[in-house]
Amino acid sequence: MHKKNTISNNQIKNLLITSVIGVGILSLPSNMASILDNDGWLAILVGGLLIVPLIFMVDRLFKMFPNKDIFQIGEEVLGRILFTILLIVIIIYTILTLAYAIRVFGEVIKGYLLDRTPIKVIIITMLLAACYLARAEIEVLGRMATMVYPILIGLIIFLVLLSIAEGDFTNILPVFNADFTLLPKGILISLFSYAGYEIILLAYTTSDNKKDALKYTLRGLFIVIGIYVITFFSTLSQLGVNQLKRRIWPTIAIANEVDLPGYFIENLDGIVLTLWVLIVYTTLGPILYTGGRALAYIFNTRSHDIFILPLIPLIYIVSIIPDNIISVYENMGIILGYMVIISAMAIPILIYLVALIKKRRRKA
Amino acid sequence: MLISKNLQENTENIKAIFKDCDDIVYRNIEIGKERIKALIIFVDGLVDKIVISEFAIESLLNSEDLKNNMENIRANIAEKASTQHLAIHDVKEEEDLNKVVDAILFGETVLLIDGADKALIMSTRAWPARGVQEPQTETVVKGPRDGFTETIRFNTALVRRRIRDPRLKVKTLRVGRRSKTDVVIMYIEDIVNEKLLQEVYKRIESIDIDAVGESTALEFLIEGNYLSPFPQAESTERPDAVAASILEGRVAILVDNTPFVILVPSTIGTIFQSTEDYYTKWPMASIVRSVRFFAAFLTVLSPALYIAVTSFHPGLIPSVLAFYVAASRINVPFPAVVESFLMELTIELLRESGTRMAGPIGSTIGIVGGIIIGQASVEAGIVSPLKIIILAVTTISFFAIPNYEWALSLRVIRFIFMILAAIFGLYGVMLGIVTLMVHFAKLESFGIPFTAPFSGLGLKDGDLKDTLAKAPLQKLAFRPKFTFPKDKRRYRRR
Amino acid sequence: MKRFFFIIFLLPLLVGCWDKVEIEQRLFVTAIGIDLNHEKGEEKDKLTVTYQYPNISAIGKNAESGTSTFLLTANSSSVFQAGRQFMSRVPFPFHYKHLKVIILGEDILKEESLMRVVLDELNRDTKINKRVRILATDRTAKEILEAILGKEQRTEGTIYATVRDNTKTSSFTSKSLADLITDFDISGVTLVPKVSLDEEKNFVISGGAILKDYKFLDWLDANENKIINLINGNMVVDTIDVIYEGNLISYAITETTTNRNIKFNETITANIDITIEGYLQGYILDDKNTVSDNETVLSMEKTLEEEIMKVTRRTLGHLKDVKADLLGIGEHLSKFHPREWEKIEDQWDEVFADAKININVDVKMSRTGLTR
Repeated sequence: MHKKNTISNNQIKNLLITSVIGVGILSLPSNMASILDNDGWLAILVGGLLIVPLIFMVDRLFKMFPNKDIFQIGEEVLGRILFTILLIVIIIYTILTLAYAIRVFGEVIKGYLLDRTPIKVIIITMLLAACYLARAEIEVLGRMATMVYPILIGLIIFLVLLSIAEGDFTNILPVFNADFTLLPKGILISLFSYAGYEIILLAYTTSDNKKDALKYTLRGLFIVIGIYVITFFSTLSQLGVNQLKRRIWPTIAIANEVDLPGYFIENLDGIVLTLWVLIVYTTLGPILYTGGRALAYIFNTRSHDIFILPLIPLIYIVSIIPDNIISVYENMGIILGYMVIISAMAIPILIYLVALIKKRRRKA
Repeated sequence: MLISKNLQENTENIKAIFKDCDDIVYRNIEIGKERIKALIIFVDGLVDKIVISEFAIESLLNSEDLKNNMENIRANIAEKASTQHLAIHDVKEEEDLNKVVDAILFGETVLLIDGADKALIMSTRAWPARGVQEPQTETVVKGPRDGFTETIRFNTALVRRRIRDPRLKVKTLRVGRRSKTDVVIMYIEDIVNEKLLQEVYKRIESIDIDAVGESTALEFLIEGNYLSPFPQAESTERPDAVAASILEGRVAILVDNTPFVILVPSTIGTIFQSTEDYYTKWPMASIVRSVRFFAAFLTVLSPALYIAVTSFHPGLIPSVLAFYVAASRINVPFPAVVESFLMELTIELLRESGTRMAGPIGSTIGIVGGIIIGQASVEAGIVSPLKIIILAVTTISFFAIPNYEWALSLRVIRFIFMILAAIFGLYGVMLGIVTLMVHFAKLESFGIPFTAPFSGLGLKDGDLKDTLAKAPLQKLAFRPKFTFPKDKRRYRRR
Repeated sequence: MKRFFFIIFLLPLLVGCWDKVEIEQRLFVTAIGIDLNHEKGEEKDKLTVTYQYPNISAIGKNAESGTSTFLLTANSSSVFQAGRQFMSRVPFPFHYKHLKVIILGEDILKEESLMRVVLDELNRDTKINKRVRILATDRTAKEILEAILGKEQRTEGTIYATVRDNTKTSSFTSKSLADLITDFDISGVTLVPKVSLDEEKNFVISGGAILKDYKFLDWLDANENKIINLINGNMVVDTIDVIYEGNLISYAITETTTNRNIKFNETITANIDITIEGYLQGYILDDKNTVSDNETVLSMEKTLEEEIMKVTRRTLGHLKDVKADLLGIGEHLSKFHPREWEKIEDQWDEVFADAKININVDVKMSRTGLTR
């Protein structure tokens, strides 16, 4: 029978995918094209490949400590005090990421769907809805991700069909003509789009088949990379590299440009955006959940749901600090870029390395 | 309290308990040459009086053996009478007075013999009951037409007829302090999952309530999440549905006095299955299944989408349509929100009054009311024609959903979506959808996640093949996984 | 805790629905005309903007008779500013998502800075569908819109329906706002259909306007437009009539294939091979002139080729004169030979004028109809 608090590897994979793909996908092609012109996809690809060793590392870490969850491992490896400090960093990262994501979300919805509704209302309602998911257990997150995943794939397939129908593939040329000294900068920025993968740190312990978990998480990562690269090519072929650089949210723009012969549907951007609400939601929920779990560990409570609601005002306040969307992307974006590297990458690497060292020392 | 050997004492005790119950019959007889006194007690109306007269009283009174007999009759008179003289198919001994009282109330006949410390309980249950008829709420075009009745024993028989396997187990429980309703659990021993079965037992046995009238009361008591607007178990009137479900690894809960049988666990896939699907060829059945999901979608969201699109985002519909809709709404005094609420509430009224009046009057009210209200409102200029179409779509989709309780829950949700759409347009509708999805993801039916076919058990395990579509039987060789059955294969190709 | 949630959720109800506007209380702008403001007025009101929106009461079952569309004109500094100014004259707010057509008057096409301002405003806004069709006119946009005032045949606009796409005729090239700006980015030139009025004040869409770097360059007539479409491989069904041995033959085109080969030497050499497939639409009904043998067909094809080459040479000359690369050669180079392109990009005008463009046309008459 279905055991409590376990999720299947397939659900973990779907959780990874839907958590990572959120607000970033809207502006990623444009950001990459601004740096690397037609070769922006390279930065996306390399950025994603850089995450692969991290996934291996996570798998190894959990195999070193079978049946322990990440909090127990962290405490054992780093000691309670140091680990708690690191967790506080992670909680700040969570709040920042959520504030950024929800602000961008609010701006997009306000721009395209609800012109006059105050952005604060959009933010608060979405945050409250995200609470509902974040307060649940990991298995509910897994199920939700599995339900949303086909919708996400459907959207991507739609994008692909669009670009085949409307796109001019010569727009992808010229290739390899960009200034490759900028490649590291591009990779750095693309790394940020993979934030959210750290949900697997929480989900790994609850997998029902730990042996094969690695296969699924890797598969999930590759699907994310694939989706990002496809989106890049899709927007590039339809908009051309100059327009791509100019538009802030190219992914929505291409839905707008559909001109079906029969012209039954116009202005598909409304429909695409409506579905995109779902995709952002599955990013916000798990990240909020992570924050709650971290707080639950620090305060040593049984369940994390009481911490979710208090986080909301914090996130709201941070999200309305920037005055406009440019400020969001520049200021918050940059701070977040660094925080991602610290929280999502450096901290897990740290835990792993210390665990390795301790293990070696024990053997010796 | 125990039965005493003294008949007089027993009689007084029982008559005291049944004071002011004028439908209890007390028949005194004397047995044998020694004229041993005996008392027969039963409830008039719950027993088959012929059986008592001919097979109990007559056997005892006219027994040659007893008449001519001898020594030691008194000694084990109860046992002798039961094994040698009572020509009744089922006789038990009982020494607890309370149980004897229960037995009488269940329609058994009690025989108390002076000198015996046990009472004899004879099975004579017979009461006015409906014959087996076609179930009213779930009709099929091509399939068996027998439906359950209010007598639990007939119902178990109807299921037994379809599964002639000794591993089909029938366990009886009694629920309700005062109603002492018979509740029977049926399952197949080597298919059903142990934990599921234990969960069912646990939940039923933990109920402490005065009375359980019928199965829905029981269903709502054993549900995990009683606050959710959605039921977490199914009920059906059809024996073929119950038999099929048991064979899939589910557990059936039968309740006396109602023809509706509860099936657990239920998932979002089973909600949309109907027995008709299994009697139709697979392409048609598959399309119909998908149509049902679409119908559920429509019945919940149509009015909300209408409000959202006309009031917030007219850019989403093609220009020509937008202009026509605007033209048709020019002289309508109410905004789309108010219009929608008015019409939807009116339809609810109609539906309710149609249910009150049974038979042809009810359906006439429905049709006539619908036509008049629809036509007249448009002519009077209160409502736009598009709204009437939306209304019709909503109502018709409601009837396409096989599970009635579910359809009702969805109707309620519809109003919430309308409010959300009225405030936030399509964004509000999405907020509602997202919340609903999380609610479903959280919902569990007896430990089985409610969204099981879609949310984690994967494509291979036959669940989706029987949920979104209807694969032919040859392709459904394995039982669906959501019940976690022990014996997985149900069809073998030779 | 749950009660708290409930109250929070109820709060928005008290505050109000901000974006709710009933559909019949919106005015759907279907066409916008932009001209240069010639009247004296405010310094910054450089534009004369005309909005066209349908008369909703004239549509549908209970249609009252009346004009099918309304027009509003004002002098303003920007397109959407005009919309705000109209608010003092109309009962309902405007809705721009159904905007289909934007007509630019010749006078404003010649003002580069204004064009850049106007186009940016249209491109930046979230509410306009970037598939709006742009049209240029040699009169004023206001005149064009006034001319169709009483004669609308379709709800979404007759001009729009006519100019929607190029499947009916190649005498003009439909251009959407998105394509326009993309063209400017890639090659600096674009072609926009030209709408004009004939003697009876009916609108005519034929030929086009060449725009270069946000400025009007020159007009193109219908035949030149067809040739350009032909060279770019966009040609759809159309007809060519030539005189063959004293009689008129009418040739209908069904398919065209274009092959380009662009080489880089001292100058650019572009070899474009075009194959045209079509059928004989009309000849003459007499016994002497029949299409009965292959020779006749071949010779007809040759006459057609010569005619096409004539127009082609004229068009190419015209393009080179005005230094407008509408043939996509620059674009081709930027994609396929990026390194060389970077070198000559800045002098592209001169390089284009010197480029050798060789066009070969091969006409095939695949079918001759039902009779000989």
